[in-house]
Amino acid sequence: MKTRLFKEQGPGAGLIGRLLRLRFWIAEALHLGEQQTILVVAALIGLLGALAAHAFRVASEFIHWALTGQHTGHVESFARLAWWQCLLVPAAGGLCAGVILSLRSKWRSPKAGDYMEAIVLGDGRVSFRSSLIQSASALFSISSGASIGREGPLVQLSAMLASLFGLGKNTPAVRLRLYVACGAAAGIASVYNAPIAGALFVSEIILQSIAMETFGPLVLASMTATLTSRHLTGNNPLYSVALPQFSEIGWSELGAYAALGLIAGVAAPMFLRILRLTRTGFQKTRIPLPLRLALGGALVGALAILHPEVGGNGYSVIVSILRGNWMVQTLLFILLFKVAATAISFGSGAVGGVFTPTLFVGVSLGSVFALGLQALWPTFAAYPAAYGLVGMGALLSATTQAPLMAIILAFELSLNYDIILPLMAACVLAYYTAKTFSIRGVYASATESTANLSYERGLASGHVAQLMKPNPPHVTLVSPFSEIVRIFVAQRFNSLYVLDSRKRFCGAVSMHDVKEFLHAPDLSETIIASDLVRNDFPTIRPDASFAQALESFSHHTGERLPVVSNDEHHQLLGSISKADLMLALVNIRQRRSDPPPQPAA
Amino acid sequence: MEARDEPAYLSPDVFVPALQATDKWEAIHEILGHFHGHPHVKNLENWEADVAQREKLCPTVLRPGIALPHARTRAVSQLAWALAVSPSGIPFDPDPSAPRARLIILVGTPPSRVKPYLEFVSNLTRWFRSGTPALDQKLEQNPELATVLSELRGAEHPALSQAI
Repeated sequence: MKTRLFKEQGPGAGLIGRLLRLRFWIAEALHLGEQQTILVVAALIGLLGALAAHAFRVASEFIHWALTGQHTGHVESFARLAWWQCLLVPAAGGLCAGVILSLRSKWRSPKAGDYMEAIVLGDGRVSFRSSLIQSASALFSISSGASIGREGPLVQLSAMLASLFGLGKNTPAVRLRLYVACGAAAGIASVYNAPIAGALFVSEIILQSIAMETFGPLVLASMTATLTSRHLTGNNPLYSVALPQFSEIGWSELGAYAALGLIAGVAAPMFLRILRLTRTGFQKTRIPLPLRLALGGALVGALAILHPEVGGNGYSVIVSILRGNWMVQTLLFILLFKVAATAISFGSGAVGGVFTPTLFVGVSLGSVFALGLQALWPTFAAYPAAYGLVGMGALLSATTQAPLMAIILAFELSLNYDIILPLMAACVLAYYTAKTFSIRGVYASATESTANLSYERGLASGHVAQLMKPNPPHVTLVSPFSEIVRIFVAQRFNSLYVLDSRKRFCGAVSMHDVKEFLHAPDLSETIIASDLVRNDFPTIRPDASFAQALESFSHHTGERLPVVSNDEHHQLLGSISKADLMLALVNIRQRRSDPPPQPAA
Repeated sequence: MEARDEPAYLSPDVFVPALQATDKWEAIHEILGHFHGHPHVKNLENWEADVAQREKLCPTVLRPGIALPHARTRAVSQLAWALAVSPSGIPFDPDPSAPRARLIILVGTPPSRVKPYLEFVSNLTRWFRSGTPALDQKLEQNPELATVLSELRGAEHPALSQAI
């Protein structure tokens, strides 16, 4: 009987071998590494964010129907409801929102409750329970007609999902923060159908940096979110306005737009001060939270009896104002009532954003300004809608202290390029004018919080251990070639760390060395890791500074470095990636370039 | 130095037709003894130590009857290898009931040359599996090797390749 000394290769071995080689060739040719992984995750987060935004929108419409019996928007609903219903519906919604919100104090979480805090100061962990409670509370406030925007809870939900997604991947804090930022960008992009503004909102306001290490993933997340959102709800600009070419608007009016910018720059600190004073006033009443929100709802309802336009976030009214045919007196009243309603909703503690109400106030301000000009000089300001759009951008620029984002958002909301020049002039002037009042931007309190600085302080001192990802893929010296191949196929790393029987780091097997032999059954048991390990593979200590890590990476072509213990045991503790190090350095740089906090306006 | 082309794999640096050793450590020592003065070998003792260390980590039994003691070592400047036949067989496998190795292939390669090393081992294994004209020639030159291979493969020389 003949003895077979060697295994035959399977019938598909050649094909499988070629496919394996193709897979590794593609990976090497495209340099698919950590940074590319971040981009892919960012795109997935964008998708998740858009789906969350859509789900919130549907839920909000359902609750609105349940409370009012109407399938219309808030303004139309308030116009159709009896006066007592106008009082009762927002009061009941506020009560429900307050009851839900009071659960937050019972379920305290060490994680950041707010996505901005998680990105700017925290470790990227956004509290799941707190986010759900806030979103549920916001659902009732918004659906019952509170003068507050949906963008706040939507962005919070999207950021929370991004945090959960990242946590599931055992992600280092510095990268988790970026993922949460991607979630926030996706939220904004899907709410406003504005992909560039979504990325810029996070870059300019929260990260305060447009470094490509962070901006690239933000752009991808925004883009995916917008594409998904457009697929679900249609591809129309949020505020479609028909404007003539700028040459027809006239260069002579550029001065008028600049004046509008100055007015918006003065109005912004007043608007923010009113919001903060109202919140302080409500807090001083010491009314329990559910009753406070119910009272806030009832007061907004009372204003809506007189002017239903103040209800809700004001989207339909903005559209109507931009289409024109409004009397200046009516607009002025609505402007004042809207500011009051937003201050009441915000002040009573309703969860939501002031972004859309700011757009409302801005568009009203711009339109009132245009109508005023028309009254003085009938040939002037022939297109009040253009002033409305510019006013919207200018007030947003001043309140958020983010002129670039405001310019892009106002452009993306209308998709009208002819407005871009007056918009730029007004936004920049509004920004600088507001700054002279030592304004604290609408998001300043979140980004200047000192409640959770522990991670941020640690990052500033900058040690490798903070960025270390534990338990990297590894084999032992006696692991067979077949196991090495299996891990290389399953993972996308270029180096596989090798440990001895005492878990001491011995070196690494390079994918480059073995890629041509991935389907060589002859080697599967003959060769072990010890035969392949490169003992001169660089390592880094957990207490090494970021500067030392950067220096080590400058001499190493790989994307990861093994972190080994300081003692003589040289044990493998984890690995640090170049992408995470770069993100940390970007964070440190932007923190150091921050101006000291300004006193409150 | 570039990896050797295929015919070169059929020409060991050293051929030991009849090993006297009775255990694997003696066998390794005896085979390496034939490398005295070889231009690619810088330090025989270190090579032996490295091969022994590798052997302790994991036995190098290639297939029943064949052992492949090998190591990446700084003791050689280029890949060097030996083919040895043990008429009585040597227990390379720790399992006492396992067949003894009658064919021993000892390999040393510089640490930096991982790819040529893998290519060599892969080709060597394939060489024993599928015959070539060069193999036939090699077997004609070394009747001892031909006999051992025939026995190990259960095939009659010179049609080894057709038997598989």
